[in-house]
Amino acid sequence: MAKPILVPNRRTFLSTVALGAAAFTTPGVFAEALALTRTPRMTEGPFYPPKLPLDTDNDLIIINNSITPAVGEITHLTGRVLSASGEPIRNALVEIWQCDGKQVYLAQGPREGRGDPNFQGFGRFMTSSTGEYYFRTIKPVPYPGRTPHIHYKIKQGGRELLTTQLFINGHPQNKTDGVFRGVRDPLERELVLVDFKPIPGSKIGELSAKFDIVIGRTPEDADEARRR
Amino acid sequence: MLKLQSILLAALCATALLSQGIAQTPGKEKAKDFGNSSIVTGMMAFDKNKDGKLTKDEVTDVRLHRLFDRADANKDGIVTKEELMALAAQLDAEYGQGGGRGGPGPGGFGGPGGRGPGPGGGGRGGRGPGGPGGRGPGGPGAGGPDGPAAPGGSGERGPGGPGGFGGPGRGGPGGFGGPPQPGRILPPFLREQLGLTAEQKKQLNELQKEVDTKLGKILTDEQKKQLQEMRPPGFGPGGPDGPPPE
Repeated sequence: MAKPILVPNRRTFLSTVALGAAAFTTPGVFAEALALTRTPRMTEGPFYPPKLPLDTDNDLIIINNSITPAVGEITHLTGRVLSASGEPIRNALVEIWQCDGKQVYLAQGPREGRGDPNFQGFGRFMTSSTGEYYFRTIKPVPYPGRTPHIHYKIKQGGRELLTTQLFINGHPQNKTDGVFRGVRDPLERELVLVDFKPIPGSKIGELSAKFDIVIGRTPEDADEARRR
Repeated sequence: MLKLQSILLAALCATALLSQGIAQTPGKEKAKDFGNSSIVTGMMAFDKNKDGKLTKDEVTDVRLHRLFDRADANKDGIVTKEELMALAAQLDAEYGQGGGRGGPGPGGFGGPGGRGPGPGGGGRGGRGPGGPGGRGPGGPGAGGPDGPAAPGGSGERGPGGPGGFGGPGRGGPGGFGGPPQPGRILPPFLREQLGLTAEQKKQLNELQKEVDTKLGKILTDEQKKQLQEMRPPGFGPGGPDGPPPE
Protein backbone atom coordinates (compact mmCIF):
# COMPACT_ATOMS: atom_id res chain seq x y z
CA MET A 1 0.00 0.00 0.00
CA ALA A 2 1.54 3.30 -1.04
CA LYS A 3 2.44 5.57 1.79
CA PRO A 4 0.76 8.95 1.63
CA ILE A 5 2.53 11.59 -0.39
CA LEU A 6 3.00 14.60 1.79
CA VAL A 7 3.69 18.00 0.34
CA PRO A 8 4.79 21.16 2.08
CA ASN A 9 2.80 24.03 0.73
CA ARG A 10 2.13 26.85 3.08
CA ARG A 11 -0.38 28.67 1.00
CA THR A 12 -2.54 25.64 0.40
CA PHE A 13 -2.12 24.72 4.05
CA LEU A 14 -3.30 28.13 5.17
CA SER A 15 -6.33 27.96 2.95
CA THR A 16 -7.10 24.48 4.23
CA VAL A 17 -6.85 25.74 7.80
CA ALA A 18 -9.08 28.69 7.07
CA LEU A 19 -11.78 26.46 5.69
CA GLY A 20 -11.52 23.54 8.03
CA ALA A 21 -12.18 25.51 11.17
CA ALA A 22 -13.54 22.41 12.79
CA ALA A 23 -10.16 20.83 12.38
CA PHE A 24 -8.70 23.14 14.97
CA THR A 25 -10.42 21.10 17.59
CA THR A 26 -8.62 18.01 16.41
CA PRO A 27 -5.19 18.07 17.99
CA GLY A 28 -2.23 17.17 15.83
CA VAL A 29 -4.06 17.12 12.51
CA PHE A 30 -2.13 19.98 11.03
CA ALA A 31 1.04 19.34 12.92
CA GLU A 32 2.84 18.65 9.67
CA ALA A 33 1.26 21.49 7.67
CA LEU A 34 1.03 19.51 4.45
CA ALA A 35 -1.44 19.49 1.60
CA LEU A 36 -1.41 18.18 -1.96
CA THR A 37 -2.40 20.61 -4.67
CA ARG A 38 -5.99 19.83 -5.47
CA THR A 39 -7.11 18.82 -8.90
CA PRO A 40 -8.91 21.85 -10.33
CA ARG A 41 -12.65 21.74 -11.00
CA MET A 42 -13.99 22.17 -14.46
CA THR A 43 -17.37 22.55 -16.03
CA GLU A 44 -19.55 19.48 -16.34
CA GLY A 45 -20.69 20.46 -19.81
CA PRO A 46 -24.09 19.49 -21.21
CA PHE A 47 -23.45 15.80 -21.86
CA TYR A 48 -23.58 14.08 -18.53
CA PRO A 49 -26.00 11.27 -19.39
CA PRO A 50 -29.51 12.29 -18.35
CA LYS A 51 -30.42 8.64 -17.98
CA LEU A 52 -27.90 5.99 -17.13
CA PRO A 53 -27.29 3.48 -19.89
CA LEU A 54 -27.85 -0.20 -19.20
CA ASP A 55 -24.16 -0.90 -19.04
CA THR A 56 -22.25 1.36 -16.68
CA ASP A 57 -19.24 -0.79 -15.97
CA ASN A 58 -15.66 0.29 -16.32
CA ASP A 59 -15.16 -1.10 -19.83
CA LEU A 60 -16.38 1.50 -22.28
CA ILE A 61 -15.16 -0.39 -25.30
CA ILE A 62 -17.61 -3.28 -25.08
CA ILE A 63 -21.29 -2.86 -24.26
CA ASN A 64 -22.63 -5.79 -22.25
CA ASN A 65 -22.20 -8.97 -24.27
CA SER A 66 -21.63 -7.38 -27.61
CA ILE A 67 -18.87 -8.87 -29.72
CA THR A 68 -18.16 -5.63 -31.55
CA PRO A 69 -15.81 -3.30 -29.75
CA ALA A 70 -15.84 0.45 -30.06
CA VAL A 71 -13.61 2.14 -32.58
CA GLY A 72 -10.63 3.98 -31.19
CA GLU A 73 -7.22 3.65 -29.59
CA ILE A 74 -7.70 1.31 -26.66
CA THR A 75 -6.51 2.95 -23.46
CA HIS A 76 -6.10 1.53 -19.98
CA LEU A 77 -6.89 4.48 -17.78
CA THR A 78 -5.93 4.24 -14.13
CA GLY A 79 -5.24 6.47 -11.19
CA ARG A 80 -5.92 7.06 -7.55
CA VAL A 81 -8.34 9.30 -5.77
CA LEU A 82 -6.61 10.95 -2.82
CA SER A 83 -7.42 13.49 -0.19
CA ALA A 84 -5.39 16.66 0.11
CA SER A 85 -3.31 14.98 2.79
CA GLY A 86 -2.45 12.11 0.49
CA GLU A 87 -4.78 9.51 1.97
CA PRO A 88 -6.56 7.23 -0.49
CA ILE A 89 -10.28 7.84 -0.74
CA ARG A 90 -11.98 4.49 -0.83
CA ASN A 91 -15.51 3.72 -1.95
CA ALA A 92 -15.53 6.80 -4.05
CA LEU A 93 -17.54 6.45 -7.23
CA VAL A 94 -15.52 7.56 -10.23
CA GLU A 95 -17.58 8.29 -13.33
CA ILE A 96 -16.17 9.13 -16.71
CA TRP A 97 -17.84 10.10 -19.96
CA GLN A 98 -16.53 11.19 -23.34
CA CYS A 99 -17.61 11.38 -26.95
CA ASP A 100 -17.03 8.36 -29.18
CA GLY A 101 -14.57 8.09 -32.06
CA LYS A 102 -17.03 9.96 -34.29
CA GLN A 103 -17.41 12.86 -31.88
CA VAL A 104 -20.84 11.91 -30.59
CA TYR A 105 -21.72 11.74 -26.93
CA LEU A 106 -24.01 9.10 -25.46
CA ALA A 107 -26.22 11.90 -24.17
CA GLN A 108 -26.78 13.17 -27.69
CA GLY A 109 -29.14 10.34 -28.44
CA PRO A 110 -29.12 7.35 -30.77
CA ARG A 111 -25.83 7.06 -32.56
CA GLU A 112 -26.81 4.81 -35.43
CA GLY A 113 -25.72 6.53 -38.58
CA ARG A 114 -23.76 9.29 -36.95
CA GLY A 115 -21.79 7.95 -34.01
CA ASP A 116 -20.34 4.68 -32.83
CA PRO A 117 -23.16 2.68 -31.24
CA ASN A 118 -20.62 0.24 -29.83
CA PHE A 119 -19.03 2.80 -27.56
CA GLN A 120 -20.48 2.73 -24.06
CA GLY A 121 -19.77 6.41 -23.60
CA PHE A 122 -20.05 6.35 -19.82
CA GLY A 123 -18.45 4.22 -17.14
CA ARG A 124 -18.25 3.87 -13.38
CA PHE A 125 -15.80 2.40 -10.93
CA MET A 126 -15.79 2.27 -7.17
CA THR A 127 -12.36 2.91 -5.73
CA SER A 128 -10.69 0.23 -3.72
CA SER A 129 -9.02 0.62 -0.35
CA THR A 130 -6.00 2.04 -2.13
CA GLY A 131 -8.17 4.67 -3.78
CA GLU A 132 -7.42 3.21 -7.19
CA TYR A 133 -9.74 3.15 -10.18
CA TYR A 134 -9.46 1.54 -13.61
CA PHE A 135 -11.22 2.02 -16.93
CA ARG A 136 -10.73 0.63 -20.38
CA THR A 137 -11.76 3.24 -22.89
CA ILE A 138 -10.61 4.95 -26.06
CA LYS A 139 -8.13 7.78 -26.29
CA PRO A 140 -10.30 10.88 -26.50
CA VAL A 141 -10.70 12.61 -29.85
CA PRO A 142 -11.31 16.30 -30.60
CA TYR A 143 -14.88 17.47 -30.47
CA PRO A 144 -15.96 20.57 -32.45
CA GLY A 145 -14.63 23.53 -30.57
CA ARG A 146 -12.94 21.39 -27.90
CA THR A 147 -9.60 19.79 -27.47
CA PRO A 148 -9.76 16.05 -26.68
CA HIS A 149 -10.82 15.44 -23.10
CA ILE A 150 -12.49 12.96 -20.78
CA HIS A 151 -15.04 14.14 -18.24
CA TYR A 152 -14.76 12.97 -14.65
CA LYS A 153 -17.10 13.07 -11.76
CA ILE A 154 -16.19 11.78 -8.29
CA LYS A 155 -18.94 11.04 -5.83
CA GLN A 156 -19.12 9.52 -2.42
CA GLY A 157 -22.12 8.64 -0.37
CA GLY A 158 -24.32 10.31 -2.94
CA ARG A 159 -22.48 13.59 -2.71
CA GLU A 160 -20.40 15.02 -5.51
CA LEU A 161 -16.82 15.63 -4.53
CA LEU A 162 -15.41 16.87 -7.82
CA THR A 163 -16.26 17.42 -11.47
CA THR A 164 -13.33 17.88 -13.77
CA GLN A 165 -11.76 16.88 -17.09
CA LEU A 166 -8.52 15.34 -18.22
CA PHE A 167 -6.55 16.44 -21.26
CA ILE A 168 -3.88 14.87 -23.45
CA ASN A 169 -0.44 16.16 -22.61
CA GLY A 170 1.07 17.87 -25.61
CA HIS A 171 -2.06 18.03 -27.74
CA PRO A 172 -1.85 21.16 -29.90
CA GLN A 173 -5.49 22.06 -29.39
CA ASN A 174 -5.08 22.47 -25.64
CA LYS A 175 -3.71 25.95 -26.18
CA THR A 176 -6.93 27.16 -27.76
CA ASP A 177 -9.41 25.25 -25.63
CA GLY A 178 -11.56 27.55 -23.58
CA VAL A 179 -12.07 25.16 -20.70
CA PHE A 180 -8.42 24.26 -20.41
CA ARG A 181 -7.35 27.89 -20.59
CA GLY A 182 -9.99 28.64 -18.02
CA VAL A 183 -7.69 26.94 -15.52
CA ARG A 184 -5.62 30.05 -14.88
CA ASP A 185 -3.07 28.56 -12.54
CA PRO A 186 -0.27 26.98 -14.61
CA LEU A 187 0.54 24.46 -11.91
CA GLU A 188 -3.06 23.29 -11.84
CA ARG A 189 -3.11 22.98 -15.62
CA GLU A 190 -0.19 20.60 -15.30
CA LEU A 191 -2.24 18.40 -12.99
CA VAL A 192 -4.92 17.65 -15.58
CA LEU A 193 -2.53 16.88 -18.43
CA VAL A 194 -2.19 13.14 -18.91
CA ASP A 195 0.32 11.15 -20.97
CA PHE A 196 -1.09 8.42 -23.19
CA LYS A 197 1.81 6.04 -23.55
CA PRO A 198 2.03 2.93 -25.72
CA ILE A 199 2.09 -0.24 -23.66
CA PRO A 200 5.27 -2.14 -24.48
CA GLY A 201 4.49 -5.51 -25.94
CA SER A 202 0.90 -4.75 -26.83
CA LYS A 203 0.15 -6.27 -30.21
CA ILE A 204 -2.82 -4.04 -30.78
CA GLY A 205 -1.26 -0.71 -29.93
CA GLU A 206 -2.88 -0.26 -26.55
CA LEU A 207 -2.09 2.81 -24.49
CA SER A 208 -1.90 3.46 -20.79
CA ALA A 209 -2.80 6.69 -19.05
CA LYS A 210 -2.55 7.64 -15.40
CA PHE A 211 -4.61 10.35 -13.77
CA ASP A 212 -4.36 10.82 -10.01
CA ILE A 213 -7.04 13.04 -8.54
CA VAL A 214 -6.73 15.01 -5.35
CA ILE A 215 -9.99 15.95 -3.74
CA GLY A 216 -10.28 19.08 -1.67
CA ARG A 217 -13.51 18.08 -0.08
CA THR A 218 -12.75 15.14 2.11
CA PRO A 219 -15.65 13.04 3.33
CA GLU A 220 -15.34 14.90 6.63
CA ASP A 221 -15.75 18.23 4.88
CA ALA A 222 -18.77 16.85 3.08
CA ASP A 223 -20.29 15.81 6.40
CA GLU A 224 -19.62 19.24 7.83
CA ALA A 225 -21.31 20.82 4.87
CA ARG A 226 -24.29 18.57 5.26
CA ARG A 227 -24.69 19.47 8.92
CA ARG A 228 -24.59 23.22 8.30
CA MET B 1 1.41 86.45 -20.29
CA LEU B 2 -1.20 84.43 -22.08
CA LYS B 3 1.42 82.82 -24.22
CA LEU B 4 3.38 81.72 -21.16
CA GLN B 5 0.24 80.32 -19.60
CA SER B 6 -0.67 78.37 -22.66
CA ILE B 7 2.86 77.01 -22.90
CA LEU B 8 2.69 75.92 -19.29
CA LEU B 9 -0.70 74.38 -19.87
CA ALA B 10 0.58 72.51 -22.86
CA ALA B 11 3.56 71.30 -20.88
CA LEU B 12 1.30 70.09 -18.10
CA CYS B 13 -0.94 68.25 -20.52
CA ALA B 14 2.03 66.70 -22.20
CA THR B 15 3.40 65.51 -18.89
CA ALA B 16 0.05 64.11 -17.90
CA LEU B 17 -0.33 62.26 -21.17
CA LEU B 18 3.21 61.02 -21.06
CA SER B 19 2.88 59.63 -17.58
CA GLN B 20 -0.42 58.07 -18.57
CA GLY B 21 1.35 56.46 -21.42
CA ILE B 22 4.07 55.10 -19.20
CA ALA B 23 1.65 53.96 -16.57
CA GLN B 24 -0.43 51.94 -18.95
CA THR B 25 1.75 49.64 -20.96
CA PRO B 26 -0.67 46.86 -21.53
CA GLY B 27 0.81 44.30 -23.81
CA LYS B 28 4.13 46.10 -23.84
CA GLU B 29 6.92 43.81 -22.76
CA LYS B 30 7.62 45.20 -19.33
CA ALA B 31 9.68 42.51 -17.69
CA LYS B 32 7.23 40.27 -15.87
CA ASP B 33 8.27 38.81 -12.59
CA PHE B 34 7.73 35.07 -12.73
CA GLY B 35 9.10 34.57 -9.27
CA ASN B 36 5.53 34.54 -8.03
CA SER B 37 4.25 32.07 -10.57
CA SER B 38 2.71 29.00 -9.02
CA ILE B 39 5.15 27.00 -11.14
CA VAL B 40 7.95 28.50 -9.08
CA THR B 41 6.33 28.75 -5.66
CA GLY B 42 4.49 25.44 -5.96
CA MET B 43 7.67 23.56 -6.83
CA MET B 44 10.11 25.41 -4.56
CA ALA B 45 7.81 24.59 -1.65
CA PHE B 46 9.34 21.12 -1.89
CA ASP B 47 12.81 22.44 -1.19
CA LYS B 48 13.14 20.74 2.15
CA ASN B 49 16.71 21.66 2.92
CA LYS B 50 16.19 25.19 1.63
CA ASP B 51 19.27 25.16 -0.50
CA GLY B 52 17.48 26.86 -3.38
CA LYS B 53 17.68 23.70 -5.49
CA LEU B 54 15.31 20.82 -6.03
CA THR B 55 16.11 17.17 -6.51
CA LYS B 56 13.48 14.77 -7.68
CA ASP B 57 13.40 13.01 -4.32
CA GLU B 58 12.41 16.26 -2.66
CA VAL B 59 9.39 16.51 -4.96
CA THR B 60 7.17 14.06 -3.17
CA ASP B 61 4.09 14.77 -5.32
CA VAL B 62 4.76 12.39 -8.20
CA ARG B 63 2.29 14.25 -10.38
CA LEU B 64 4.86 17.03 -10.62
CA HIS B 65 7.78 14.88 -11.76
CA ARG B 66 7.05 15.48 -15.39
CA LEU B 67 7.17 19.22 -14.74
CA PHE B 68 10.43 18.68 -12.90
CA ASP B 69 11.94 16.97 -15.93
CA ARG B 70 10.71 19.71 -18.18
CA ALA B 71 12.15 22.41 -15.94
CA ASP B 72 15.52 20.69 -15.68
CA ALA B 73 16.87 22.36 -18.80
CA ASN B 74 20.46 21.20 -18.46
CA LYS B 75 19.41 17.70 -17.35
CA ASP B 76 21.64 17.66 -14.32
CA GLY B 77 18.95 16.17 -12.08
CA ILE B 78 18.64 19.46 -10.23
CA VAL B 79 16.03 22.12 -10.75
CA THR B 80 16.82 25.67 -9.75
CA LYS B 81 14.53 28.58 -9.18
CA GLU B 82 15.87 30.15 -12.36
CA GLU B 83 14.99 27.10 -14.39
CA LEU B 84 11.48 27.22 -12.95
CA MET B 85 11.11 30.90 -13.74
CA ALA B 86 12.20 30.23 -17.31
CA LEU B 87 9.59 27.49 -17.58
CA ALA B 88 6.94 29.77 -16.10
CA ALA B 89 7.77 32.40 -18.69
CA GLN B 90 7.50 29.84 -21.44
CA LEU B 91 4.10 28.63 -20.27
CA ASP B 92 2.93 32.18 -19.91
CA ALA B 93 3.89 32.87 -23.50
CA GLU B 94 1.93 29.82 -24.60
CA TYR B 95 -1.17 30.59 -22.62
CA GLY B 96 -0.97 34.32 -22.13
CA GLN B 97 -1.95 34.16 -18.49
CA GLY B 98 -0.18 35.47 -15.45
CA GLY B 99 1.48 33.10 -13.09
CA GLY B 100 -0.12 33.90 -9.80
CA ARG B 101 -1.80 31.19 -7.88
CA GLY B 102 -5.41 31.17 -6.91
CA GLY B 103 -6.52 33.74 -9.39
CA PRO B 104 -10.21 34.37 -9.73
CA GLY B 105 -12.00 31.42 -11.15
CA PRO B 106 -13.12 31.87 -14.72
CA GLY B 107 -16.38 33.74 -14.68
CA GLY B 108 -16.69 33.12 -11.04
CA PHE B 109 -19.23 35.71 -10.11
CA GLY B 110 -22.21 33.56 -10.74
CA GLY B 111 -25.12 34.20 -8.47
CA PRO B 112 -26.42 31.29 -6.55
CA GLY B 113 -27.91 28.79 -8.91
CA GLY B 114 -27.48 31.00 -11.91
CA ARG B 115 -28.70 29.25 -15.00
CA GLY B 116 -27.50 28.92 -18.51
CA PRO B 117 -29.13 30.36 -21.54
CA GLY B 118 -32.67 29.65 -22.64
CA PRO B 119 -34.69 26.51 -23.03
CA GLY B 120 -33.00 23.21 -22.73
CA GLY B 121 -30.32 24.75 -20.63
CA GLY B 122 -26.98 23.37 -21.51
CA GLY B 123 -25.51 26.30 -19.70
CA ARG B 124 -23.32 25.80 -16.73
CA GLY B 125 -25.07 27.48 -13.92
CA GLY B 126 -23.59 27.78 -10.51
CA ARG B 127 -24.46 25.23 -7.95
CA GLY B 128 -26.32 25.97 -4.81
CA PRO B 129 -29.65 25.83 -3.11
CA GLY B 130 -32.34 28.07 -4.41
CA GLY B 131 -30.99 28.02 -7.91
CA PRO B 132 -33.78 27.52 -10.35
CA GLY B 133 -33.02 24.85 -12.87
CA GLY B 134 -29.29 24.65 -12.81
CA ARG B 135 -28.23 22.31 -15.55
CA GLY B 136 -29.60 21.76 -19.04
CA PRO B 137 -30.40 18.11 -19.53
CA GLY B 138 -32.10 17.79 -16.18
CA GLY B 139 -30.66 17.05 -12.83
CA PRO B 140 -29.16 19.29 -10.24
CA GLY B 141 -26.59 21.74 -11.32
CA ALA B 142 -23.10 20.68 -10.60
CA GLY B 143 -20.72 23.39 -9.61
CA GLY B 144 -18.54 25.10 -12.08
CA PRO B 145 -15.09 26.18 -11.06
CA ASP B 146 -14.91 28.45 -8.08
CA GLY B 147 -15.30 32.14 -8.09
CA PRO B 148 -12.94 34.74 -6.72
CA ALA B 149 -11.78 34.45 -3.17
CA ALA B 150 -10.61 30.98 -3.88
CA PRO B 151 -7.46 30.80 -1.83
CA GLY B 152 -4.79 28.37 -2.77
CA GLY B 153 -5.74 27.57 -6.29
CA SER B 154 -8.82 25.58 -7.07
CA GLY B 155 -10.08 26.28 -3.64
CA GLU B 156 -13.08 25.09 -1.78
CA ARG B 157 -16.58 26.02 -2.38
CA GLY B 158 -18.66 26.68 0.67
CA PRO B 159 -22.13 25.26 0.91
CA GLY B 160 -24.53 27.01 -1.35
CA GLY B 161 -21.67 29.04 -2.68
CA PRO B 162 -21.79 30.77 -5.97
CA GLY B 163 -19.62 28.58 -8.20
CA GLY B 164 -19.56 30.53 -11.39
CA PHE B 165 -19.31 29.07 -14.79
CA GLY B 166 -16.16 27.56 -16.15
CA GLY B 167 -14.23 28.01 -19.33
CA PRO B 168 -15.38 31.13 -21.06
CA GLY B 169 -13.11 30.43 -24.00
CA ARG B 170 -11.44 32.82 -26.34
CA GLY B 171 -12.95 34.43 -29.41
CA GLY B 172 -13.75 31.24 -31.21
CA PRO B 173 -15.54 28.05 -30.39
CA GLY B 174 -13.69 27.38 -27.20
CA GLY B 175 -15.60 27.03 -24.00
CA PHE B 176 -18.06 24.28 -23.74
CA GLY B 177 -21.65 24.38 -22.72
CA GLY B 178 -22.03 27.77 -21.21
CA PRO B 179 -23.50 31.18 -21.62
CA PRO B 180 -23.88 32.31 -25.21
CA GLN B 181 -20.65 33.79 -26.38
CA PRO B 182 -20.56 36.73 -28.71
CA GLY B 183 -19.67 35.52 -32.17
CA ARG B 184 -20.59 31.91 -31.60
CA ILE B 185 -23.05 30.79 -34.27
CA LEU B 186 -24.50 27.75 -32.56
CA PRO B 187 -23.61 26.72 -29.03
CA PRO B 188 -23.02 23.02 -28.38
CA PHE B 189 -26.33 22.39 -26.68
CA LEU B 190 -28.18 23.72 -29.70
CA ARG B 191 -26.05 21.65 -32.01
CA GLU B 192 -27.03 18.67 -29.95
CA GLN B 193 -30.69 19.53 -29.93
CA LEU B 194 -30.77 20.04 -33.66
CA GLY B 195 -29.04 16.70 -34.21
CA LEU B 196 -26.66 17.99 -36.81
CA THR B 197 -25.12 15.54 -39.26
CA ALA B 198 -21.37 15.19 -39.48
CA GLU B 199 -21.38 17.11 -42.73
CA GLN B 200 -23.39 19.92 -41.19
CA LYS B 201 -21.08 20.06 -38.22
CA LYS B 202 -18.11 20.25 -40.52
CA GLN B 203 -19.61 23.11 -42.48
CA LEU B 204 -20.63 24.85 -39.30
CA ASN B 205 -17.12 24.63 -37.93
CA GLU B 206 -15.75 26.08 -41.14
CA LEU B 207 -18.27 28.87 -41.01
CA GLN B 208 -17.38 29.53 -37.37
CA LYS B 209 -13.71 29.76 -38.26
CA GLU B 210 -14.51 32.25 -40.98
CA VAL B 211 -16.60 34.33 -38.62
CA ASP B 212 -13.89 34.29 -35.99
CA THR B 213 -11.24 35.38 -38.43
CA LYS B 214 -13.33 38.17 -39.86
CA LEU B 215 -14.52 39.37 -36.47
CA GLY B 216 -10.93 39.34 -35.31
CA LYS B 217 -10.06 41.71 -38.12
CA ILE B 218 -12.95 44.06 -37.43
CA LEU B 219 -12.40 44.49 -33.71
CA THR B 220 -9.41 46.11 -32.10
CA ASP B 221 -7.38 44.24 -29.50
CA GLU B 222 -8.89 46.41 -26.80
CA GLN B 223 -12.40 45.57 -27.93
CA LYS B 224 -11.63 41.88 -28.08
CA LYS B 225 -10.28 42.11 -24.54
CA GLN B 226 -13.44 43.85 -23.40
CA LEU B 227 -15.58 41.14 -24.93
CA GLN B 228 -13.63 38.50 -23.11
CA GLU B 229 -13.94 40.27 -19.79
CA MET B 230 -17.63 40.88 -20.23
CA ARG B 231 -18.62 37.27 -20.59
CA PRO B 232 -21.32 36.78 -18.02
CA PRO B 233 -21.25 33.50 -16.18
CA GLY B 234 -24.34 31.44 -16.85
CA PHE B 235 -27.26 33.71 -16.31
CA GLY B 236 -30.69 33.10 -17.68
CA PRO B 237 -34.21 33.87 -16.73
CA GLY B 238 -34.55 33.11 -13.12
CA GLY B 239 -30.95 33.81 -12.33
CA PRO B 240 -31.08 36.29 -9.54
CA ASP B 241 -28.52 38.87 -10.46
CA GLY B 242 -26.28 39.90 -13.20
CA PRO B 243 -26.49 40.74 -16.82
CA PRO B 244 -29.12 39.14 -19.00
CA PRO B 245 -28.02 36.60 -21.57
CA GLU B 246 -26.87 37.84 -24.97
